[in-house]
Amino acid sequence: MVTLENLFKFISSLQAVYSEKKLYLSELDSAIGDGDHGVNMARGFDAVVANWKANPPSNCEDAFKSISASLIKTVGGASGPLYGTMFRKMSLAVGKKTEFGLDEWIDGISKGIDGIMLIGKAQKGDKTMIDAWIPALEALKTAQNDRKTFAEALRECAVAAKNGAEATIPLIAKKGRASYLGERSIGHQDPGATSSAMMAAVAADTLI
Amino acid sequence: MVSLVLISHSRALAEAAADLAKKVSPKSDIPVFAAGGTGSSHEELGTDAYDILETLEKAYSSDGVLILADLGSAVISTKVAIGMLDDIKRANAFLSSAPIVEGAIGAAVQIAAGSSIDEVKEEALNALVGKQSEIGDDENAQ
Repeated sequence: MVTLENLFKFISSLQAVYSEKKLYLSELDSAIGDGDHGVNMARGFDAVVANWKANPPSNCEDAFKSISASLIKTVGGASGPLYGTMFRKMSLAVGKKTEFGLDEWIDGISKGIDGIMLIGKAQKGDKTMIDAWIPALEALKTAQNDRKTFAEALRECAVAAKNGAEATIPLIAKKGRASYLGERSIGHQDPGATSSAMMAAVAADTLI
Repeated sequence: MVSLVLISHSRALAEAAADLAKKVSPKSDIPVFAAGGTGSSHEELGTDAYDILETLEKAYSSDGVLILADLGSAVISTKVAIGMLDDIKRANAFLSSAPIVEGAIGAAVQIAAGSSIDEVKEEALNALVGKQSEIGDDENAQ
């Protein structure tokens, strides 16, 4: 079940994870991008937690809007507006509920992915965060069909996102700065897909 | 009158391009706006969708707003900002793939002449045509 309390655990845990993995994510980004993804995500979630504490949201729509605005303002690069769009679309999808379950989570993630694809124009296989999110969404839908619990669905989603991120290693980057490298982008895991997989893993640990 | 918004990772570049476009157009008081850069006074390289949104609000014209952005995250931030405009303003906002400097100059000349948003858009998109024939990339120009 997603509640405001669990969402606060989710963002606090993401703040800790991105802070801990800051160098790892920036190293992945140095190989094919501009080397600041880890630092950007850590700064972004510091702001997400600080803004939540300063203005605690009273429903899930406001909660996701607050996360979105903080990320757009502080992450920078392309990942700020992309993650910001994801959470903004999720806020519109869930509305003013104070708690919700798997169906709404799937609707939110699905609309979030649509939003990212609309502004970033990336398709599956372009070596972007989409390569983690599309299998993650598919895993959620399969779990929903199989009548799994929310906790089980989130665990399967996390595994699918991690596999999706690892599957970017042999791909040629088609979007963002990495696309300038062409075939030289082969052999590196995409940093955006990696930070997305971390987000799915944290969701499985905190939103249950 | 159509208004023009220029967005770059570098605020200084956007402002200089806006200044250049105004100065080479027949009227220097046409509505040209610059956005971009991040940090408290836009001094760092990058773009901020909220800063762009504020500029788009300021630049709004019911005759249309042509928007030129440099590339990458500037384009993505601009799309996010356009998405946050209300329906009427969003329907009058046009993000173009035209090159920011050449496109701005072409657009500014049309704006000064009182052209429609469609004419301004087309002029901006054609901004490289004259330059390409002048330089002749395929002839390995000397």
